[in-house]
Amino acid sequence: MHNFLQIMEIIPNEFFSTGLAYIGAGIAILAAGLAGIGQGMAAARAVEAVGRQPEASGKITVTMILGQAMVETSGIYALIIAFILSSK
Amino acid sequence: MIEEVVRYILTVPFYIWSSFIIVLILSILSIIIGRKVNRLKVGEAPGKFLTAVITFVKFMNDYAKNNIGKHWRFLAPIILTLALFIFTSNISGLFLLDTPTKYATVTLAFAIVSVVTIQAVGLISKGIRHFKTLMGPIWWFSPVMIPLNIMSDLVPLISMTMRLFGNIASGAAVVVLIYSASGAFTFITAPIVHTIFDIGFGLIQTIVFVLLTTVFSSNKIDEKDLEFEGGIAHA
Repeated sequence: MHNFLQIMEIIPNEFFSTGLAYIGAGIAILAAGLAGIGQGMAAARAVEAVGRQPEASGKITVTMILGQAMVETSGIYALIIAFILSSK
Repeated sequence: MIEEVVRYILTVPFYIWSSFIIVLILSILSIIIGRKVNRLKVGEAPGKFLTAVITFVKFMNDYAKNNIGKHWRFLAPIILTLALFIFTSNISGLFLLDTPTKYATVTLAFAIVSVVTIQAVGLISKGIRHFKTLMGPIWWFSPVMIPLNIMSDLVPLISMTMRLFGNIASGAAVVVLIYSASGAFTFITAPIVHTIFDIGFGLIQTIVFVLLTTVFSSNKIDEKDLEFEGGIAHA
């Protein structure tokens, strides 16, 4: 009958740490999902704006792409961290 | 001596060679197109390909005029070259090359070009006053503002590197995942995946890179520069 602490003394080896790194990569990529929500909100507002003022669609598109590129940065950082963790 | 040179050349990774090949192809194309444009006479109609190229160059010139104003002649060739080179690099995976923008070293070079361009536009437009803007509006607050402003000028170096690299590298990773998942049906998935991740995201990231370079440099210019003879507002 092993309790949890005894198991924790047995298991910690390189496989264990690799698995934890993969879990960390999975958690890190959640931030990319949040960035996706933000981008979707920006796109929805842009669609509304184009519907209200179709003649300004060029400027709205440029502004939307710019804002989405800014929002995307955090998601990209999360992706880089996930890359680093999964190549550990 | 020669052996060392050859050995050194062999250690250069393939993506660097890919970018050299892209530079070579783009230079040859530009020289040929430039000669053709020079030979055009007044009233002569250019061919289809030449018309497309001329429209693209005109579009870039107008874009630079809209955002930079008087000094558009400095910025327009840089953003045109950046756009062409980044887009060709992004889609070069379709032509048996190793996509150079998949590696952070190459995109860091692009980001350095972009940041230097932004500062150069500020210097050209404002002259020595460009450094005065680092101090912020209030002079006694400048010891706090100068490090902050220098930081905010240098941070695009990291963010632009990571943006381009992350997008293209994640696209490549997803392509590999889908390839391994689809197995024998890769011939169905491959065209879709490459259209989305190579051409689509490559185009979007090219637009974003050029857009960010132009917008950041249009923050640095003098506001009087936007009104000039032959500009969009007067034409």
